[in-house]
Amino acid sequence: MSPVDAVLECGRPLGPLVEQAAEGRPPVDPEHQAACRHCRAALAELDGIWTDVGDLAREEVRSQSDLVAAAMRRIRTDAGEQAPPPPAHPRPPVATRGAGEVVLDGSRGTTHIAAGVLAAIAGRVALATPGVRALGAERRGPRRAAPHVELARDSVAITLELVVELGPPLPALVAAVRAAVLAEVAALVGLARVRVHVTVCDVAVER
Amino acid sequence: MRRHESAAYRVAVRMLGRPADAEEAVQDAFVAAWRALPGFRARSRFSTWMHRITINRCLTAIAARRAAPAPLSGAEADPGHGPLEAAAAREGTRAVTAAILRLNPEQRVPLILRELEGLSYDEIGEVLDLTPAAVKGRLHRARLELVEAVRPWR
Repeated sequence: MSPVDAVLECGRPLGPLVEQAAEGRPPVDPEHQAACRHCRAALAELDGIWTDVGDLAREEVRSQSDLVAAAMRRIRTDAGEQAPPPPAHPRPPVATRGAGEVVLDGSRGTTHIAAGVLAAIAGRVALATPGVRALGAERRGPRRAAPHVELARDSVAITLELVVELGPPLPALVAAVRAAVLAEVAALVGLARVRVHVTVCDVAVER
Repeated sequence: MRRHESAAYRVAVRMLGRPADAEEAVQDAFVAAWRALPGFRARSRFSTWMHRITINRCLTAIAARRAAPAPLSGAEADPGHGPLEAAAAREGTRAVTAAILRLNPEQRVPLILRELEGLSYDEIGEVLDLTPAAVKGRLHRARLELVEAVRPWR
């Protein structure tokens, strides 16, 4: 018999009791359960198993080696040879300048996107890039929003300051960040003429 | 990236059993993630994406073990005596660890993500490209199999 069809001696299926023990769901039939010794015995056993599962979940599992560093060494060995591929998006419309906004002209109205939105997108993408520890400007207090976005007549320049981990070659890391930011800005906003200026302003040395 | 390292390693150890295999899978996953970054869509969370890559590496490793000649495939058939096993302090957690390694990968993955990593059904669905209902179904089956496998030890 498959475990899915398992039935207790009282005729009740085991399945709901398992969910009750695992997820803390209320009993399907509390009255029967309170009276039935088979159900209570099964539940006691299941509670015991899930106590063990909980203990296992709390168990410390840690690698003896520095896996990030090892991966970075491997990347370093063969980086530089392969630049990240260009984003595979069709050419999106070109932006025109607005007051602190990108303006997308359309036949049925215009769309304005604030520079801060681009900055937020760029910051999020950069921070998600392995090897990037922090945005540099963050360390100088909230005064200077990070990253910085400049709007020219028909182009957008995003300036990022990064604190990185030493490991991969910096030009390759920066290229990965730039490609990721460009792809994301193209995908979410539809901007093509974007330049991404990156300053590696510090390295994280701990660990 | 560091904060993803420990989570990736935990999942890989539970998936594969042997620390050396887990370390290799996690390294592979980081290298793959770094190379694939330009294609990363920020609309899925980075941790979700990283889980997905790590799990795919583990599944590849499991498939490779099965395809490998006898000496290696024995490790998958009898995962009860690996170093992780020896390290597990208590009989109960040891039984659960062994039982998880005996689940088929389709059930092993959601069980590990839910019971050991505490992900929600929605998050597991994102990692595995499944609806929350499908996750619930697999998880339920996995739990029943787990109970079945742990009972003889108790």
